[in-house]
Amino acid sequence: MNVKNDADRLVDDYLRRLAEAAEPLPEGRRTELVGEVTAHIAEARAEGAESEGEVREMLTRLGSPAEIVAAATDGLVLVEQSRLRSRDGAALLLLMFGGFFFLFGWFAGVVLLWTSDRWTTREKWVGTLLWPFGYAFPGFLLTYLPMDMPSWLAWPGWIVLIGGQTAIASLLFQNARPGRSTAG
Amino acid sequence: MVAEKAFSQLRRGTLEFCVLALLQGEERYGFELVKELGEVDGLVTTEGTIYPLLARLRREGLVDTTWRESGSGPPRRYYQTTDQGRQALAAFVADWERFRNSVDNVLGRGRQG
Repeated sequence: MNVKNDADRLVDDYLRRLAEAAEPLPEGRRTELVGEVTAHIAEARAEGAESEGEVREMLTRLGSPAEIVAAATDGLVLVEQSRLRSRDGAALLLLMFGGFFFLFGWFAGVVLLWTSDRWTTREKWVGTLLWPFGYAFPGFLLTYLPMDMPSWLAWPGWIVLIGGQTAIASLLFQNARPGRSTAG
Repeated sequence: MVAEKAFSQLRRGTLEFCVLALLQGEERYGFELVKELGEVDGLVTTEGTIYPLLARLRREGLVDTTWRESGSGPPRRYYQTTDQGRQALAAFVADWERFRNSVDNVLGRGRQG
């Protein structure tokens, strides 16, 4: 464990806590704030804050992430939360494409879907039961079921399977809002 | 403790005009500005809170920002006062001098009497 790694860890930890504290800010403000503080830290380190002690002192002077975010929310009446956190985006991606990873990825997506507060229970059921295994489902049908349907029937079938999955994913994407899991 | 609270409120109210003053006629990037304010005795307690302040001044049209390449590292966001910012600062400076004189006056009177 050398000195630089300890300093890096301090900075990573600080920026992670700042990003977390800034989550309730509207996206534009959050990006700008985190960007400016990140640049500040980089400039300070380029100017010679190298050791763990120096970095720690520099971060102390900056103040705690909570204090900085509190200053950014000053006078902000409506605190809008980001609709999709990275874990919610991961849930949608895994529901769509996770089936290709030995089906396991899709189950991980289902777990993320049900533990998120961004969707209502009904939307969670829709996301789970309609088109299970996402885009892998048509692939599964093609591989394991005898598909000797006439082509005039097969094409609309594909369009329904793939279009249906896309429709559900975009429905979940559009409806995602903080705190909706309490609704039915 | 009471004085501490009063000063934290005074700081909050006056810091933005110190920022405008430093950005008047000279553009500075965030780190440069924060470091300069940080070196002034008793003005800034948490340097990081200057960034939300700068963002607010920009939203209110009192400062402008420009991205410029830096000799080393990524581009920097430079801040400078706008005409509106200069007017706001001028108005504050006039009122501040009157206010400061009044306070000094009364405090001094208290000491003598």
